[in-house]
Amino acid sequence: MEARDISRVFMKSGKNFYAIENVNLFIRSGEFLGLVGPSGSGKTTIGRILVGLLPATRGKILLEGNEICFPFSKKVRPMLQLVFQEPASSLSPRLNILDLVREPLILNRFPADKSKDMALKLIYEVGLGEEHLNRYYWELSGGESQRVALARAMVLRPKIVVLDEVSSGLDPITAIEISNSVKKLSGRYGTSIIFITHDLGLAWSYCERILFISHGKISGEISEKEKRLSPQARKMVEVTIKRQSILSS
Amino acid sequence: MFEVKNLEVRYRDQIPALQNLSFSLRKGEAIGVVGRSGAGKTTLLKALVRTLPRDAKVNKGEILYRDKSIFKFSEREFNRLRGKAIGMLPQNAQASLNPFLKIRKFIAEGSRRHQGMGWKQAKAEALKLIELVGLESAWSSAYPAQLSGGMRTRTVLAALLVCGADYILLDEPTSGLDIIAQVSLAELLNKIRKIEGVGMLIVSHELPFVWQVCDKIIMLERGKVVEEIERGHPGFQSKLAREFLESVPRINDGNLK
Repeated sequence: MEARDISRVFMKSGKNFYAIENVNLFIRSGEFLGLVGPSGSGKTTIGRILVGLLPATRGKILLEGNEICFPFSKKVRPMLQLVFQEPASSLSPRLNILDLVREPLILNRFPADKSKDMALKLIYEVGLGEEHLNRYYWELSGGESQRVALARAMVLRPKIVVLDEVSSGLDPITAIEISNSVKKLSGRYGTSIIFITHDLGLAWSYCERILFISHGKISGEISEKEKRLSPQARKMVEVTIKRQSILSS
Repeated sequence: MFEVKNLEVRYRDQIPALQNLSFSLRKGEAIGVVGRSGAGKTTLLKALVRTLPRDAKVNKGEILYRDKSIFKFSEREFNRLRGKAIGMLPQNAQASLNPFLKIRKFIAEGSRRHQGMGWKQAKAEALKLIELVGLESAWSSAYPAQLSGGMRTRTVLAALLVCGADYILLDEPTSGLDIIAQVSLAELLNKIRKIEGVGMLIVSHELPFVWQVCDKIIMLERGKVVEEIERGHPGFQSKLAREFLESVPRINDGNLK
């Protein structure tokens, strides 16, 4: 997937305000790409544009070389999934866990028995058990309901999953467990992951490539081959390292 | 002074959410409560401001505010303490914003209600607080929906500080804040503590953040204290604390996969 020169303009007090401006990025198949930046930098806006929840004011989105236009077609939508920061905002309180994970399959006309098997398989793969199947998301802990949202996003075997701050609000032990599940699933199904976070340490441990976003622009990139950082991105790296030293001491 | 003595809270008369918890919090002191989710951290804060859900009960123990049991205040008396003497930043801070009020007005309402200021003075005070929490003053006329998550947390924090409470209870103040904002929040809390002499109880998963602000850290696991550590004393001993330390992802130049 590739985004070319995408911008998103909001109106603020009668003036144009760029939430993101001329962002260029690509993600390879099966890649773990981190988008890291301070709050309000436009990370979520980029994620939403990439999965087709929000139209870009300017620019193009290409999937496997073909341009896709907003609103994305029914064929494209299942390939792109998003997991929100707050699982409660995307899960229905009326459906039990099994039905929640099964719903996307039913909506995409999978036969009943097959959809049940696929949903069950994913529920077990994200680390939930039989005891969770008949419960509701609001009976589960934050980490568990985040796993349900993850299973729901992965059940259609999408090409790309955007994880929007999935670990924030979780304790560090749970955050690592969830990130490990994501890594395992992405490896198994070849899904590309766009990992949006403000926790540079977490992105550093899981991503093959990290893009720094600040003020709606890409301000730096770190990968094995490349290291290019703007002063803001450099500050973020320095603060994170300084903070680690508190722990070591 | 806040004093908690042998506190035990149970949900539906069965599961103990907190057991045998004792500590005291003086003005100008900061205590951090750290633990995994479900450890009883939020229950503790709710017990301190008497907002426990109906199915939860304080079974044993005592909570004293200025040497008087908080359960002996009438609802009306205690309501007067909330906000003015004891402020609380809830976990889902964003839900406490009013979508119809610009943030400056939202913050100003606190000083009008609790400090008896007029609108003009209250709004000037609100502007000061907006800058103190690190928001640009241009945002003061924005509505909550126009702000990012981190900005909303800071707005609620400003609204909390404007009331001038002696004790503030913060439930996961760093959730949704990026690291630079977390560091500036830690500095801000330290500043408030020094200048205003506010007592703080901070519930968090973020050990480094708590470490920067608090004099004492209480590690909770399933409602029980597994470790208490004071600043300047040797490092953590418990298994839980070590797990917490190990699970904080580290960066160095080598390990980008």
